[in-house]
Amino acid sequence: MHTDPFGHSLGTLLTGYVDGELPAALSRAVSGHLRECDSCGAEVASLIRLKSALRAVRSPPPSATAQARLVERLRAARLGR
Amino acid sequence: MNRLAIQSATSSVSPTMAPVPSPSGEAGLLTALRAGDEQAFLGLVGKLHSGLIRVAMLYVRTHDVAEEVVQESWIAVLEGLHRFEGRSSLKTWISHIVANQARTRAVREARCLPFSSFDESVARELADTAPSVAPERFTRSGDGEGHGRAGHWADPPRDWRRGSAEGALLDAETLRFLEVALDTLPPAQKIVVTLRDVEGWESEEVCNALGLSETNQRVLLHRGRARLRAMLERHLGHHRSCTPTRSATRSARS
Ligand SMILES: [Zn+2]
Ligand SMILES: [Zn+2]
Repeated sequence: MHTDPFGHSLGTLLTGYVDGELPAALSRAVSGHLRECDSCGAEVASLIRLKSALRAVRSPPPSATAQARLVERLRAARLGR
Repeated sequence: MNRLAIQSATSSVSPTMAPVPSPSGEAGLLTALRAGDEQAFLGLVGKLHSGLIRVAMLYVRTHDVAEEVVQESWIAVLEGLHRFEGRSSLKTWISHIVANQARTRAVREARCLPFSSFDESVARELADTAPSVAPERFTRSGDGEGHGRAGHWADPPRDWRRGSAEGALLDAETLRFLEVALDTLPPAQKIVVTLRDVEGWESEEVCNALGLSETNQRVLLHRGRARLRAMLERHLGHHRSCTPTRSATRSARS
């Protein structure tokens, strides 16, 4: 992992970069660095791999039974008003 | 239902009552919810439920209790819809309701986690190593363009080629591995990574739901991902080398 001119680690910067949360100029600067730096490039690639894998971990929505129970309670709550 | 109730239900849908426009074009959804549209409501439940369970689990111990807390919260959401003014996003508002209900529940049941423990985790995990500097500082001292915090976001590097299209990554063993790996993260990193990367919440939504500054959120996210990345790459390395053995075992059995 590399450091910026102030000696700070690029870590959180790369995190902001893969999330598309950096200001435009900063993002361009990171892009430029990635073209020249294999180690940061590998870190970004690995971050993106991780992010796409984590998207698949998502737990299923509530079961049909749980949803039915919820709707039932909602109707009851509305009637009770 | 008496006449008064009908009247107030109707007036809450009237456009004159709609105050500040909510951030992400939620007006249509809000109108539907206020009108008692069950499909719209269940759609929202399907989208947010699992993330809200994670938020509740910060305060209560068991999944069953978290499930109850979130169910109660959905009722509270419907009952409070007419009071919702759109100053925050709907998701932020709902996650606050869940957090409050979970805290109340935790206080009521002595065997639950003390409320302060999440804040303590955050502090501990942030203090763990030398704090990283806020990226915003680079811009100000760096290129001198002085981007404010309102917008100017870069075109996100979504089409970054080197890391994409790793279809083989999503096999069942790897998913299982990631679930277990997530569980090993320190609590604050775990909830931030889970809400951001598993549930797909925006950073602002996570900051609001958990009461974190944007910088601290990013540091926790970065540290959690770094741990997971190390575990995942190690696992994938192992997996590549162990695959032949496993298929050999399988064919030997069949
Ligand atoms: Zn580098
Ligand atoms: Zn393996």
